[in-house]
Amino acid sequence: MAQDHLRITFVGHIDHGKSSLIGRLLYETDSVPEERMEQVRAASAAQGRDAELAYLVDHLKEERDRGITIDTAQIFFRTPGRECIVIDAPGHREFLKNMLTGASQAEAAILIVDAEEGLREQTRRHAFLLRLLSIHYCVVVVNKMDLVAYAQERFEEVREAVGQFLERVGLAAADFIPISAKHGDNVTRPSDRMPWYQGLTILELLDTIPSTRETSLPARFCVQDVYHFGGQRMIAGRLETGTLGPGDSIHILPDGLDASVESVERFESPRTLAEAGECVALILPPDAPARRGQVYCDPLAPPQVVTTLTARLFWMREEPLAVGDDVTLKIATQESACRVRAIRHRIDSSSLDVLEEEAQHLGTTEVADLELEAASPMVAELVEQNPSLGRLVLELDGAVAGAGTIVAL
Amino acid sequence: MDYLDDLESRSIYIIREAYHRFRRMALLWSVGKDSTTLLCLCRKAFLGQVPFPVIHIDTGYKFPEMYRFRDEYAEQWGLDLIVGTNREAREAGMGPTKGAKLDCCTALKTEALKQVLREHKLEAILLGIRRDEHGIRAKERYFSPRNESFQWDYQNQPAELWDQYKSLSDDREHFRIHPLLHMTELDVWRYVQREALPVTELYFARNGKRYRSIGCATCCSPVESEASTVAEIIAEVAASKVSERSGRAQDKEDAYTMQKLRALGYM
Repeated sequence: MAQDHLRITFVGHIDHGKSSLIGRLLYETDSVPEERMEQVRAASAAQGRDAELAYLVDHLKEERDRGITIDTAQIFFRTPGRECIVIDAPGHREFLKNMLTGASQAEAAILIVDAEEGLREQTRRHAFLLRLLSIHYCVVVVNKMDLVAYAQERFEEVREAVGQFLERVGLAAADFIPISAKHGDNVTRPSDRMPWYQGLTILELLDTIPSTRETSLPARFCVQDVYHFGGQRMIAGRLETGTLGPGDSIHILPDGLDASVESVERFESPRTLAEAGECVALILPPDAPARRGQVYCDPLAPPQVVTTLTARLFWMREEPLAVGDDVTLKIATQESACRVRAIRHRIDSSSLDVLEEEAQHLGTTEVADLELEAASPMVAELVEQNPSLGRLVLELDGAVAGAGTIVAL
Repeated sequence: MDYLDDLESRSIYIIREAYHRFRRMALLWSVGKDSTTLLCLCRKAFLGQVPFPVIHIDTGYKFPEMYRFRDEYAEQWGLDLIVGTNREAREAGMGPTKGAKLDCCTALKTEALKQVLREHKLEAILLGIRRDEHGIRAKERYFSPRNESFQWDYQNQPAELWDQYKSLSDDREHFRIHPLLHMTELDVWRYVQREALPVTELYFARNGKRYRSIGCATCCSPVESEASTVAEIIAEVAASKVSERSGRAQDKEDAYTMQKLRALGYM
């Protein structure tokens, strides 16, 4: 019987203990095959160390040599209540695009903070990025309590500081847990060194995190491709939100036409209704135009078609973005050349300091509200209304250079 | 939509995205359960068709059961099958006892694949690797570029988020597409069960042993098992404390063999 599943990312500043915590969780839940533990012991010994549980996550030789996580990894393990997919994210500023790649696949996050060091640059930046990625469920784990003599006072100080920052960013922490990944306190077993803490262990907490539920939004079908196999025109795509069935009326955008769905096709399946998240193929009347990038929507609640929009964007490239630059704008399966018309409210994504209100450039790891002008009409929505048409990337040379959400149309 | 539906949909999305972007693409079929699942997902994605070639890299050391399975389903599904082999290396007697396994895998698998890619001018190949198979594979991207020497630049991978994947390639690069990354060994078996997908009989117990992971007959060790149906395999895998690839010799040669192999272009 398939259990409930949860995708959770571990984020936080470098060396605050993400990989070690994951390693300890795996080890204590008996999720590590014995020969993998043997490999870890051997590899650790070769580095002159005791069994380094972080090696269960940091597999690249370079990661072990340098003692840091370079790229995100996904580890699968089971708690008593569900199957968890843990996504480890690098905490180093150099690897932010890898953190984003990993975290973007998560439904919930654990933000790790070193009890001694407290809030650091990447702690703040990662919290900010969680908000950008619309990961609403966040638990803060205060690690290395052994270095602060398991003192409640220090835990409360860190809790206060982190809580305040999260509020500024617009995230609410669901819980704060004091732990020591190194010694195993409150990871899978309650700690007897912190009798003042009566809350859950991390393992218990993982079983209580709610899985994301689909809220019912209006139908949006994004066309990926059009096939002509077997003489029939099949419009392949994913229903991002809502439901769609044969006979349903749809509004075709950006064309601005109406049509009726003749059939919802899948290979060797009798099902006819498509639900949110499903990849299917539609058959429409032959006179309805069909091509990649179109969006078929609920005629009573259509999104907008625009050539200008404002996106709150995180820039990932070393070379800054400048007003007047031409980039490629992508929203779902749509693609258009686009020009940066204005860069406003440029901020440092770690300190949240406003660097400039009207900027000429946007530097790496900075965030700003960009006014973009697309060469072709784009079907778009505000991210709060529908994330599938409210999230966008800017590409340069075929690679993602910036990621953002639509805040004004 | 249940969990398997969700996994299936994510894979189909990636397969269709790859087909849209790459004119010259092929699927790498090892005839194992993962690449066969990938092949079946392609049939779903393209409504019964597989509109590109399917490559089998033949080292010459595969199990006879695999060759039979390959030929039976290539015919049944109307596949455009390409069998790739490093003829020179095999004629020179290359094999797993000739030296390091790293060298044999590189010569008979990676080199053979390079030859096929060049000969058919392929821009992208679909592979059925999964993150949970190996810590190194856990670091992979869905659309993973390789340079002209087949090298994997794992220290500088492209960003992937919100289903937006690195798309452009210059002429000297090819892409590896990995639509099954998010599926675990157990997920694949559950999917095989649900869809009644065919898998080679090597996976089922004979004389108290079965193969959990299949490659060349010379470098694969079976495990003790009585599991002779897919349902029994699922129960066994769910309870197992041993990793799937523990019977695969090339993973064990030295701590970083898999990383070195993959950096040179191995799957």
